Amino acid sequence: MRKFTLLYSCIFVLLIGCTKVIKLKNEKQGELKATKTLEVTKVKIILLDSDTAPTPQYTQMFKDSIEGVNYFTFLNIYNNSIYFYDYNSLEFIKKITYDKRGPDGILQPLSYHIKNMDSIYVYNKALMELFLTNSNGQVLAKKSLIGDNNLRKSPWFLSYPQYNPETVTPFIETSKELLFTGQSFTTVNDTLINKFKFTAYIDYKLDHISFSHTYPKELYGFDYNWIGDLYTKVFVELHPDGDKLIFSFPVSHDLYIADIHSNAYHKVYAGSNEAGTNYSINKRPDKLSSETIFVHYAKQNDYAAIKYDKFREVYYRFFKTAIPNPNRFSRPNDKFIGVIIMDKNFNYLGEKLLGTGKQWYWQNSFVTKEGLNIEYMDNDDVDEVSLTLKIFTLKKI
Amino acid sequence: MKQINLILLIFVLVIANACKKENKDIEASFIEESISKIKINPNVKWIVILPGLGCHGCIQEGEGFMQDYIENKDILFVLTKIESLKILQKKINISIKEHTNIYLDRSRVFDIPTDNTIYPCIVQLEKNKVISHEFQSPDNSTAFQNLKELLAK
Repeated sequence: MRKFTLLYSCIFVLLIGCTKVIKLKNEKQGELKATKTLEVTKVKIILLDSDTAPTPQYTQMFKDSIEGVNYFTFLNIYNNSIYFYDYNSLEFIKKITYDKRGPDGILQPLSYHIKNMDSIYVYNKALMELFLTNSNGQVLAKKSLIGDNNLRKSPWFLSYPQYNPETVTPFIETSKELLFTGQSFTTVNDTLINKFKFTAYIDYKLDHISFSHTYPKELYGFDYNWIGDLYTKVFVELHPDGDKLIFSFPVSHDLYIADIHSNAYHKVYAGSNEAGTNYSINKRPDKLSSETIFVHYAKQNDYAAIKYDKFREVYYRFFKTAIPNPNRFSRPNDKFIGVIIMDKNFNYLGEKLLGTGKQWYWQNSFVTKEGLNIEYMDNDDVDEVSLTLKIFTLKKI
Repeated sequence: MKQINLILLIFVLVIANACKKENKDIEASFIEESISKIKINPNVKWIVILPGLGCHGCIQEGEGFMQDYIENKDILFVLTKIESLKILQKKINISIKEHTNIYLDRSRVFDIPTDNTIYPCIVQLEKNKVISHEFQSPDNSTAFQNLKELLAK
């Protein structure tokens, strides 16, 4: 009889498929006092050509020290080009177009970094490579980001990060290397939690790549189920000191700071006054429907990009609010987008709710002297004639 | 004792299996509910749901069908998960503003919650009720051709 009781217990556990759950409480919820907020003080409207759509995958501000022009650049995935606009006059200046095939071919560019006009790094999603190119669209060198593994055959994704680069998760330029932060697209198995590194360190000649920084075990270890790429996304910003990285993990009310080449984190609180407890999923990844995963995500307040504003010496941390009573028709873009403002020592100054993700393409956010630029979407404009940047500055309450 | 154990085992497995709803049923009820959320002309006999993201070749088939049948008012074209309407309009050479039988699904209420979400979907209607639905996919590559033949009758 005991044998059969054991058998049923095993079947029951398999059917239920439970797993350990972590609850991340927001210790300061409702106790934070705001002294500052953000307000729109400028709007920039950039007219687009017939081949270009708003909400480009990736943008970069680039100052050409020779020409003295401050460029707003973006990737047009529809024609394999990087567009250059004068950020001040909003005039279109030029574009660099890459071949898709051939000796200078880049099949699927998804992001880039302009170091200077002779050194433009382009990430090719199709084969997970990084190209060194010039402003004539010529390829000078290339390097696999997955150790030359076969993309289709080898389980390389257990050892190497995958990349979904956006303006808020840019390449980071240091004196010696270019940093490119990726993520795991699934829950990280506990046996890999101390091995899986998500930031690539790439030397500028593309001779050498190394990897650093692992998911904090206290958040993602112990087989906690944070299934779905939204929970495992890694947002990173270079500390103004230049020798540290600041990581914002979607599930945590804290920021994790580490030396640029060290994996030892220290935490600082950076939560929203409104956010409640975040908790991982109580079922095994293989026991979940996409609807269950989404409803779980919809109920959480998750955090996103961290940006430093060197002109005002403040940090902005993006977050997305939970959807009240989510159902099968709720979508990630139904979440409200918010920005927490902190001083240079991460003390809370306030927060601002912008609107839903249907209006604000927060993924295209960056800081300029004018303020915090965030792309705004005009959903009535089916012809998509322009790209709109709304610029926020601080306001005392 | 062995018999009781066998019955218990079967009972547990039957319960487990009963919890698995077939994808086809999930899709049908979802589409029915999606349709109830928008106003549809009662004369519409077919809905073609075209996702912007997913199976590239299957979506191209759907876009080709839309180009050929955009003037057919028995068909409502639902555009969902479209990355850029501008690029799509240029590609298929159709101005969305000029056609009343196009529904722009900005809220993604037609984003079907199964793995078939990546394929164009053809829905047959009768008085706004779903009669059937099928996907144009690599496993069902003649869905649009079949519809063309039905429309030609």
